[in-house]
Amino acid sequence: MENILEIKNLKKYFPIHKGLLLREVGQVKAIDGVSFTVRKGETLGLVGESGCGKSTLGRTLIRLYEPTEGEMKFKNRDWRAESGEKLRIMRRDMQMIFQDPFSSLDPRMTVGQILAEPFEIHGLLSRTERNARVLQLLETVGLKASHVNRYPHEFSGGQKQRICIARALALEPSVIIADEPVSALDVSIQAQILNLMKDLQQKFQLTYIFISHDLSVIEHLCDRIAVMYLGKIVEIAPREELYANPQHPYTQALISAIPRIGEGKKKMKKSLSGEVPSPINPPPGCTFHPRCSQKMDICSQQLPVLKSYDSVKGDHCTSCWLYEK
Amino acid sequence: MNDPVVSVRNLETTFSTRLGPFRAVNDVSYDIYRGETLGIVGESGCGKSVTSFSLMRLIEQPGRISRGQVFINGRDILLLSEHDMEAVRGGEMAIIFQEPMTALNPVLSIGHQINEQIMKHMRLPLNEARERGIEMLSLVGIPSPGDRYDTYPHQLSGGMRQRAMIAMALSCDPKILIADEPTTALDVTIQAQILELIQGLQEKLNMTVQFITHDLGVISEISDRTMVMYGGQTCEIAQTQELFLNPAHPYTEALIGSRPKFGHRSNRLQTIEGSVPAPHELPPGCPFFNRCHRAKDECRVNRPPLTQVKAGHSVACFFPVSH
Repeated sequence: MENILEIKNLKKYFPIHKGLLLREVGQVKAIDGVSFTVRKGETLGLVGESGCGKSTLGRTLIRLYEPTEGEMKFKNRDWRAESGEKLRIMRRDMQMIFQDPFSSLDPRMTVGQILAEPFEIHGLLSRTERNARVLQLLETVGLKASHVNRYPHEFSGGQKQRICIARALALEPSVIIADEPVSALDVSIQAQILNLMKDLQQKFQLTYIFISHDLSVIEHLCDRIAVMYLGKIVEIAPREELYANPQHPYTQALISAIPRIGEGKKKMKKSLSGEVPSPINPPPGCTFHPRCSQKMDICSQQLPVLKSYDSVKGDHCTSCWLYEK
Repeated sequence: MNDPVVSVRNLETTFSTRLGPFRAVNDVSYDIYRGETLGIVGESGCGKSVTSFSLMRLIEQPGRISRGQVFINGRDILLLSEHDMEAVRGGEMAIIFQEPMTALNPVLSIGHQINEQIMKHMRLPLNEARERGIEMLSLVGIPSPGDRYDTYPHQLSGGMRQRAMIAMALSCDPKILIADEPTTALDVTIQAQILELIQGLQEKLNMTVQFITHDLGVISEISDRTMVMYGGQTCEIAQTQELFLNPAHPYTEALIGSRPKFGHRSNRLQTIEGSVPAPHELPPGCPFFNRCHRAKDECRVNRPPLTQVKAGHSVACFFPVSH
């Protein structure tokens, strides 16, 4: 399968300014050297706890944030080098759905205006064509044509998220980055949106980058999964492989911490002690070592590389010293 | 079984709104036995939090408890004076809220906030209260509790704040703990730590727990019995394992089916059409009527009573799912 996105050693640091002169006193290393590829038509899941950099990564991929360092190739073109008119045209091909549908829709615009805006910005289609396309989009995401003149507040959370999805689909992108698209929704509504996203992917051959903290949702939707911790990818593997054979101690802890439905009351066992350290001053070596139950001397000294430790399953990469022979 | 510690009878909590009175909790009855964890699960607006707040008598205007009884160890606390209720709240019964950042006072130190109730309920002098407070912080697994005692809420992480709130809730040895979505704002690994902590303390202190969440996974792992709520009413109540294996209410069944099950991957998730109706749009009969695939005319007009289908398993549905 061909790669649609190739990311190499991507970094995004945010400066911290303090004091009267707002001098730069440090940096938040939100993404700290991340490399991966996204294949055409697949769903890549980015999973991790709050502060691991998964949302920053999503926003950097779509160039809402300018990366500090690294290479990004989108459809074999240098995505970082694009600017101005060219960037705008390329952006049609990559769209985003945000977590909170309540704050990502302009309350003063009708649904029709919201969905027509992408065409206005890009100067596409005539007025009548736009209107027809808007109605078609509404239908695609399961809303009614009669909704077109309503305002966002007249919709429920699930319906709002459908509007956001319709907006993302408007310009027929090939890649959609979805940042926790169901986290703000009730369980029964989550299922509706997840099913819709699956249907749309089939219908339009979309490539998804799906960001979530919910491992059950990630398992349901994704083909490959990247686990992030403190700005780095610690493990990346195809779905079955990752859940059947998690290698990194963090992935193992994360999977064992998922509450399972219908297995009865059980004694909770601590999966992991301590908390995620600050990304301003990450621990040396492997950033996970202060919480790791299997840490060795080398872990606090040297950073492990993300690589495959199994020649048969070259698709499964981990960055952990445990597997270094 | 022994006598119930908590016994709620026909509880009704009403909010007056512009569109008329609205019953957030509508004729809900249940019992919780000593040392047991009752889970209450439901989606936003189902009345699960209002039920807990009613138990603590924390309902404020424009809401009020309009009917029913809440017996705590045989005493109806709805009849107590506000002054007597203050002794119950934080003493006999304690609550952990969902968002520790909003539940804690940002301008008072953690220690000060714990002290307050220890001094009130246990009538200890300041220095002993401080000792007790530090002991509580160490009980909930806060490292270097002596130093943390004098810190302010914003200086702690989300997990630590939640621990501090649990320490506060447990500081006066409550017999009953109400946990209202205590782990919803937390990451999974921290959630596992907090759930383990609550379970451990429950055993140690022989507490009775009412645990509210929207997360079916969490409820399945922590509670002995589970009650499902929808539109302010009880849909179903049963032993947790029984409820998940043989859900009798169509809503319970659909709710379980709509959640991706870990390790049992299916191509499509079961969905519930539509969304939870707004309070003033609730149908007069069964609240789930307009979303239910089994509904018949009868369900539109008549409210199904909570009926026992098996020992310890009751459901409010005219046409329950049979297995």
